[in-house]
Amino acid sequence: MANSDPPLLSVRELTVTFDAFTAVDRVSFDLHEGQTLAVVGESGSGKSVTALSIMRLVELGTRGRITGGEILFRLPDGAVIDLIQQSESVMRDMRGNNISMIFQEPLTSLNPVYTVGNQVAEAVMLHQGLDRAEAMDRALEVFELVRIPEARQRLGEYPHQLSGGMRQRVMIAMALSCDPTVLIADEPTTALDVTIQAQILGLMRELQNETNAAVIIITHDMGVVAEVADDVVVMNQSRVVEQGSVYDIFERPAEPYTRALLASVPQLGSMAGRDEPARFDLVGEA
Amino acid sequence: MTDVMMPDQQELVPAGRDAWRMFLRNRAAVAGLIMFFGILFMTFFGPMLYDEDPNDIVARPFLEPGTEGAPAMGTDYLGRDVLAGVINGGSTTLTVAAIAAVMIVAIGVTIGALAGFYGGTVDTVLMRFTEFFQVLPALLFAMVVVTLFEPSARTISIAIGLVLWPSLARLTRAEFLRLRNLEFVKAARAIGSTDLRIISRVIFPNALPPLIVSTTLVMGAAILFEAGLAFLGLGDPNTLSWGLMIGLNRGNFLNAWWTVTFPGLAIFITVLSFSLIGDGLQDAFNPKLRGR
Amino acid sequence: MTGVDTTPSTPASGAEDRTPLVVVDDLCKVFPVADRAKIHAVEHVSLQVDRGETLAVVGESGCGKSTLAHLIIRLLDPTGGRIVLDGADITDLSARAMRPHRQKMQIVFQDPFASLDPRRTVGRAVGEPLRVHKVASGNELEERVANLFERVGLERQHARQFPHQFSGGQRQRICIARALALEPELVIADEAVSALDVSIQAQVINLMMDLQAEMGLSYLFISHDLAVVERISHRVAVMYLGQIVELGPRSAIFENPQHSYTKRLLEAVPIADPRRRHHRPLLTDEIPSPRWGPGEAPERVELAEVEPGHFVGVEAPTG
Repeated sequence: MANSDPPLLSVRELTVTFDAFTAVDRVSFDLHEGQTLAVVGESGSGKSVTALSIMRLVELGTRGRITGGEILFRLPDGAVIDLIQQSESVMRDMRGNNISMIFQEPLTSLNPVYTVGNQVAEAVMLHQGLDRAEAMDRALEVFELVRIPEARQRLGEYPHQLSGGMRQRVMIAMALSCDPTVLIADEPTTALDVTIQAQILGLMRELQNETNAAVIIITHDMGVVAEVADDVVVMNQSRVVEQGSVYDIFERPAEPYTRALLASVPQLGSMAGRDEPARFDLVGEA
Repeated sequence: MTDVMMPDQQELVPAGRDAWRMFLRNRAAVAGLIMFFGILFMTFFGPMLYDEDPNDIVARPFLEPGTEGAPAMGTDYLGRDVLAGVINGGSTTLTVAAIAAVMIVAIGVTIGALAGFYGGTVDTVLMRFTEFFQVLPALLFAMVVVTLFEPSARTISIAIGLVLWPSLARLTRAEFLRLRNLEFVKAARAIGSTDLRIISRVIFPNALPPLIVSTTLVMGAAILFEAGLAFLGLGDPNTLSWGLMIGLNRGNFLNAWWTVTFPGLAIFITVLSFSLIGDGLQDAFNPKLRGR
Repeated sequence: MTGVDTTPSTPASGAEDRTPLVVVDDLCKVFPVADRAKIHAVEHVSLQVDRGETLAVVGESGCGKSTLAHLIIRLLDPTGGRIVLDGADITDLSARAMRPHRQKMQIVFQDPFASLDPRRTVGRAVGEPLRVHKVASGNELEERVANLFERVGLERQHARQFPHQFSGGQRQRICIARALALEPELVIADEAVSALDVSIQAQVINLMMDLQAEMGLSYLFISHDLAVVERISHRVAVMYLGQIVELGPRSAIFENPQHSYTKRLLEAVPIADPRRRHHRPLLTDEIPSPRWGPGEAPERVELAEVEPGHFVGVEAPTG
């Protein structure tokens, strides 16, 4: 997807270290308005650390340090700032407001002691200076946006009363409540059942059309990538191995690692017409 | 994604009405609660119902309960009414325990929360500080504090608070360490919450159940401590308390058992009630036992 | 038999003994929960596993597939029904009477991190079943453990190391080696590859297939991942709310699915091909819970054979 606009987010030579270990090594990519970029890799590839670094959350609660590079972010007024240079209080104002994030585990990413309505309203009150009643109205709006059935009633329920899929919808609602320009989704469907995953992926695509937010989706699942991404960044062992449009990556993978990764993905329908089970044809297997 | 449907599938669930229901199903815990309310009732309404000044000499010394002219619990070495003492001595003991508990919770939770939440250097410094208080010989330290300042209910409470907070600090720290890496804390950061807000509004409510249990138990410990100090003669000599009664009468235990036994029983029942309530709360908050 | 006879009409190749290895007949498991409600985890399940074949059981959370696995290996006691292993009814056997039968079936779990004792060498872990069943000791035991390590693609020296020294994929190989120690005929794989990275997952699946070819193993392969199941299975059972709604040869299930739930499940699988992107309606259906209130019970799904060996749950016509 060629895009002539200046990027909304431009990660340049980002390097993150945990003590002596380099978790993210000179990673660069651009994100444009309305684009869905998938960062794909296996465990330990550095994809999640990259996501946390954009939020500047990697230095909070972990021993990670951003030791190099730039994360250039274009504000709604057109000014471009380097997120790495911003103070914690500036970042706090931006989190949930300009950039928001959803996490893998819908079971644990909501606070069990508050109603889900309260939690979404909380995010709105933090950034928009609304009072509780107005914030609750906004929460209802975003609940309806993410197609939560009986939204008004759900506002007053606790997380444990909702299914995994509904909780992930609540998380998405919370992330969208302040109209962010960038949404980062870290393995948003990994913990969900396949039919629910399909619903959430469909919803995310639909929401992107409606809100025009740019989305970074962090995943290990090539199926998910093929379903939602416009462009793909393949990571392995802290580095970007290859990046390009989703068609380039799936149809003309240039790097051996990408090819090996694709070869090991079980493809539904690949066995059509065969009676016996069949081994994977793995690159470089002894 | 395992789907073995076990009845004890564990999950974070807000403890509230469910926990209360569980608590009420626990007979020992309910007994503890009744005992505690009994003690409270005796302490607040007893003096009105049994209008006898515990400092008045009402009869001959060492009158055994049941003998002619003796009050229900007999008299002590000065001929004072033991029952009046038991009824009036509770307020000091309970007040000291309550003030000490407030102190313990305030210091312990603050230090534990900061150490657990921030980790690193903050944790190291605060935990060294905590360990310092923990390795102090508790009773000796409290005795020093009480001896240096005048032995009033306030000093005694502070002394007890100072020696008992470390256990709560360690527990709070452990809970914060466990909770701070959960995804909803990450999610709270991701919406831009401040640290203070995350500590007080996000993590703390989730850490409450074990802290409540522990506070209940620590109140029992505070009462024993107060009694211990009074027994050693370090209580406020002008304020009647169960511990003071035992301390003053301890020399007569063999020939006048009632002078020590009744105030001792009052302490025992109070501490036992806290202990039973604490155990009951522990079970009630345990999600594995809930819903049975 | 009270259940429907779900004998495959085309048995898997390479099996000389035509009697099925495992026959599960009308198996039920009900868990009582709070407020006198019940979880009907497994409801009237009948199936069989033939010698040398892989029967996959697929479904979503709460469908009862893992409970089924635990019932068959007798980690849980069924509420009703029979389990016949190699001609012997093992449904009501005591733990002691089960012991000789335990050698014939082994289970591999999802989490290779949790299923190994961190303080024991992996060689000890793999040799443990041999010691427990007094099959081998001393040098013979060591030799057999070493052979098992080689068999699953590890080196014999690895036996002296501890679990933390291995990657997730290697640990799952060790768990497989342990499961193979007693030369079982049936290996139950309960989401055994779900926690692994795709490249590792593919290697472990290849290993499982190689072992099947070498040793004539039967697999009961419990999984939520349809793409993996398509790769490894001879036959597939689809479970929904504790019941089998469709069962048949792999090609029948994947190329000619009949039950509406099977179709929905297949349509939901993301395809790793951007040109075959789904355009799905925005649904908000939930997976229903197998929890039933007092006096309630799930309606029994009747299976009908639509083609040889392909059984489909009969649905209400309005569906």
